[in-house]
Amino acid sequence: MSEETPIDPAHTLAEEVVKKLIDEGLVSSGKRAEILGKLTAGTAKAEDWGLWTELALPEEDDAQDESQE
Amino acid sequence: MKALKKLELRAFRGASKPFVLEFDSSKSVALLFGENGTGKTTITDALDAVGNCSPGSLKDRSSTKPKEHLPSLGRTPADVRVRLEDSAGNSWTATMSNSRLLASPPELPLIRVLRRSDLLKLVDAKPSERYEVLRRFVDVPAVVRSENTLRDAATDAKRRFDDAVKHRSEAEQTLHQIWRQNGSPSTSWQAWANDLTSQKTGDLDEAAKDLRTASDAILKALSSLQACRVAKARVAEEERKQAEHRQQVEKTQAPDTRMAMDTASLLRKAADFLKQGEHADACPVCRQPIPIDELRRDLDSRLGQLGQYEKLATAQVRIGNDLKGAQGTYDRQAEAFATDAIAAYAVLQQPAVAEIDGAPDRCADFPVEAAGWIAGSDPALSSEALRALAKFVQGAESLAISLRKREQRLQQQLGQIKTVRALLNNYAKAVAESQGLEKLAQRLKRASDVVRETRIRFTDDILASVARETNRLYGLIHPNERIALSKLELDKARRASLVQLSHFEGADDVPPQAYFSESHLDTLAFCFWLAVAKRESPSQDAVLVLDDVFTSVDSQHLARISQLIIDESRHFAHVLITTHQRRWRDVFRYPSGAGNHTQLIELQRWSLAKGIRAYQTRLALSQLVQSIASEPFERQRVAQEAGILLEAMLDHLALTYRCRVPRTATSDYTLSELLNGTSSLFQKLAMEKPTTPSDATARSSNRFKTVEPKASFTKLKATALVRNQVGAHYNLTGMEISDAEVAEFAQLAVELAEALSCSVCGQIPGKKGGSYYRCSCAEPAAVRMLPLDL
Repeated sequence: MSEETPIDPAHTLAEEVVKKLIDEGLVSSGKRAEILGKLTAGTAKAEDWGLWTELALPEEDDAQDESQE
Repeated sequence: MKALKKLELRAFRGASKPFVLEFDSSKSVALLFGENGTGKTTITDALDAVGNCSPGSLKDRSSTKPKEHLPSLGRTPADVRVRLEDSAGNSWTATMSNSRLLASPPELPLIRVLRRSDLLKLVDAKPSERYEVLRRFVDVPAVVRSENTLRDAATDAKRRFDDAVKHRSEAEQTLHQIWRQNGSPSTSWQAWANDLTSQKTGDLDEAAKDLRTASDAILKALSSLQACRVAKARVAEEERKQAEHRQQVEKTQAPDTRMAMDTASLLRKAADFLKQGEHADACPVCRQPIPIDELRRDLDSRLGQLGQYEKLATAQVRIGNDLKGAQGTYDRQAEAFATDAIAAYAVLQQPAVAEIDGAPDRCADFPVEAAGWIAGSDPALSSEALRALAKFVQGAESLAISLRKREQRLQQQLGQIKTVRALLNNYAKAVAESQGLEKLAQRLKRASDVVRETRIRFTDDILASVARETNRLYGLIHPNERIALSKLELDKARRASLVQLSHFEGADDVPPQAYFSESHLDTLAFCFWLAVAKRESPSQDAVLVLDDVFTSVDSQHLARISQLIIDESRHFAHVLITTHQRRWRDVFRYPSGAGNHTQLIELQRWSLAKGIRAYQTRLALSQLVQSIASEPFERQRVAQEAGILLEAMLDHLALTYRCRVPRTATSDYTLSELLNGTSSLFQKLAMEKPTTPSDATARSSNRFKTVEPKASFTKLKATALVRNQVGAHYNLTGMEISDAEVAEFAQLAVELAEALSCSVCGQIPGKKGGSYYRCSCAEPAAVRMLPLDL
């Protein structure tokens, strides 16, 4: 093959992953841009995941409250 | 990028002279035909250089160095310049710096080059090499890194949850044990613990403190009493010593012992006085003259005589002082005792102390005289009062023990409350923590699964999509053949490895290299590469360069591949095919191919002095039309071109409809044979054409016309001899044929070509539809040719 310009599919995959995580309420939707950036760059740390997941808990509780109302 | 417009080369490879290649941006495919050594690879390398900063074909050639061999012979890297321009006015330039190719602007055009050598590599590629082709689509190391940290977070949350559960269990067990030790009161350990810890410990603390103070006060009073008794005993002892001394004085033999004792004391004081300092020779008392030394001797003599009395006198003074001291100590101890006893009485009045059995009784023994007594300001208490206080304090001794026991019980109670409270807090904290962590751990685990599953599906989808597209393309080249790609997947046992297996005549998942012919392997690799290239060009912005890729395909497959390239070219900005095979050029030049979509370029013989030279090739039909219209009228040329066009069209139809023509070893038929062979076909042949070319709604609104080329064919058959008599041979009969007759023959050939071919793509329909053949144009605007079979 000739030398070819590389393209990074990580962003495409990261977008898909973040959408699913938010749709399932597993991470905070408010952190979408940050998650996408770190996921694409491969710099998401364990504590980042903990924070994003914890921040989603109140959102999920709110959603449950609304559905009960 | 958009369609190619212009490529300019200077001092690059074979471009020993400045070379400009103009592209027709309105045509999706450019076919560059040239015999070997005319500069095709130079043009491919130039596009590779400007699009990929790659030395192109030199990359894999031994004994070559880009620094020396990319510049034209006799030129230097500094002379090299490649400039590419697209139809939107964008341009890119590649130059050389030593051995490196540099391109600007930095955002390079998307140019994908497939060479014959690449195709062969792809055919024989190891799974890891094949993976490299797809790496840029499926390799997501950054996401994998983030996925790993997510998995770590999930594992850590699970571990912390387990720890919290363990702590909760331990606290629960301990509380349960304490509850049982306390006789399992209340309905449960939790209810008991909640009740217990709801108590106000301040009151208990206060009570314990009062009890401690009371017991300490009693003990202190007892201690004072003891000290008082010791002092009292010492007074008695000193008084006894004084009585003994008095008896001893009375027993002494002397007229007046007391006087003698006083005298001895006086003389001692005088002797001591005279021993100190200088004295005059006179009695210090009566002032009578007397030598002082004599006086001293006299005093010493008299003191010697009164020694016994002096000792008695000294002892008397000492005993008197001791008695006085003992009495003083006793007085102070008595006062301290009284103070401590009164203080003890005071604390016994505290509520917590007063509840103790015996406390009120003891308090009843307290002497009234001592109530409110203040040491130092009030007169000393009487002996009776002190004795009553002593009785009170002694009576309270047993109470101090009760107080201490009671206080210890209270302290134990307080300790238990504090312990239970701490355990209960730990338990509640562990419960809350475990509940939060359980949720967090579950969510992190789920998130980890989502990321992993999405990544795997993402990769699988890409591979499945590439495999599907490869098979679709392959099916177009090899219709009705029982061969296809069956599996394209990542090797789970190896990293970065792509497994490719195929169907072959009923056998599943076999290596294609083991069963496929060379030609089939070529086309499989090509279809795989094309499928990958399509993924890279979702916005139709990639330029494909196929550099002399196919060498081993037969005519039928060549027609299908060329048709495939025309059809797929809409996914790309431009497709450039270079070939040294004239067959490729003729597929498009004559109406069997979609010539109207193709720009035909031919390269002339190369020389160092002239460099690369290119010219545009006309389609056979437009060439003939131009020749007919040319002045002066070149009859031989017109007859020849018309004849060749006719032969090409009739040969295509004969092949498509399997018309009967005389069998020959080389399948080269004369015009006459082809006309005879296709006569019966033209009795039935009909073309359905949109009234307006490219009208996408023509078929649904019935804006179609049916053209029957039968009449043109019949006339052509009658005049076909013009082709040989004028266009091919020297003969007298031919000389009798007028220019008008030649022109009429050529015009009939043009009419037939226009009747048979699509005015948009230029192709005689060749793709099988339901009951017809159709041209390259997209349905429903395609031209149809009927019937499907004779």
